[in-house]
Amino acid sequence: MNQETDEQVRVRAILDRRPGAFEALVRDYQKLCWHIVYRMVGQDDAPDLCQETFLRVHRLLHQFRFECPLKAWIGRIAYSIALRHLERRRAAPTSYLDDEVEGAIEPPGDEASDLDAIADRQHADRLREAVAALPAVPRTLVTLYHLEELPIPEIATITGMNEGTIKSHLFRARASLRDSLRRRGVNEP
Amino acid sequence: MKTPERSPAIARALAAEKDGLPKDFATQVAQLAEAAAEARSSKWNEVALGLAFVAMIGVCIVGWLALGASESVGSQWLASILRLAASQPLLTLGITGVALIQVLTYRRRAASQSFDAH
Repeated sequence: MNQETDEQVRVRAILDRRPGAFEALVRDYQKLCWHIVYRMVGQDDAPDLCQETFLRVHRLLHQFRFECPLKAWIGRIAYSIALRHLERRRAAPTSYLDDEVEGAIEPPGDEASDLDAIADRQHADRLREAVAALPAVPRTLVTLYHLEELPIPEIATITGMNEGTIKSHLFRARASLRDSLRRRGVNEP
Repeated sequence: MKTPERSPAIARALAAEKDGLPKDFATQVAQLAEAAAEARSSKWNEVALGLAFVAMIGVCIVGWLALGASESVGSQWLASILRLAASQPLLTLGITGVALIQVLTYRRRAASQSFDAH
């Protein structure tokens, strides 16, 4: 009954330096890494930081204890590297929401359908611009939640924030996106 | 607090963006990681080799002092060692040769790592 999970097999293959094992892991998680790092620091520095992330993953993999999904562990490394980079640039992630504030905002019931209706195909560019205009942390959270479709607990593992804080960020970001789209002349139905 | 609803519209808009990573990113990173792991393990090999070398020198010195120089004590120890070295030329030559090989090997490795880094 001591069956290894797929992740354990995969990690062991990398630690045994099986050819191609680490490359396959990078291929599988490079998009996640990109989404985190790019949203945090922008286009210019993202490739180097993604590389740094995977080099660190390779160096620290023997310490991975399977206490969380491998994806979340890699995401956490990417997030911490991006965060440190921002701090070094003296552009600490500006948050429009105090990390400890929770529960301040509840969404209107039909918010998702409103936003979906607003942001149809021809409005996608404006929606992207609006996302890009969000501060670094909520921008990253929006990407992880809506694009990567990670569950809130995994996002909490990656960012080190508690779940309530993440939800607050997400609600506030949605409200901000809606306002931003209105200002850009997209009419709400 | 309620869990926010996911928005397919946001997902679609963000998914349309291309990532800025090179096509062979995974291959490049895997090669770099492998090289870094190699460098780490060779660093420990260097340390082990260095320790072994120091131990060998220690054994030789103790041997010289014990077998060849019962009179070598106090401030005369250096002169005594030199005298012993002169009296046992083959051993001296062997140790010098090993030391030289170590230094040259280290220099060559350092040079090749510096070249790889560039």
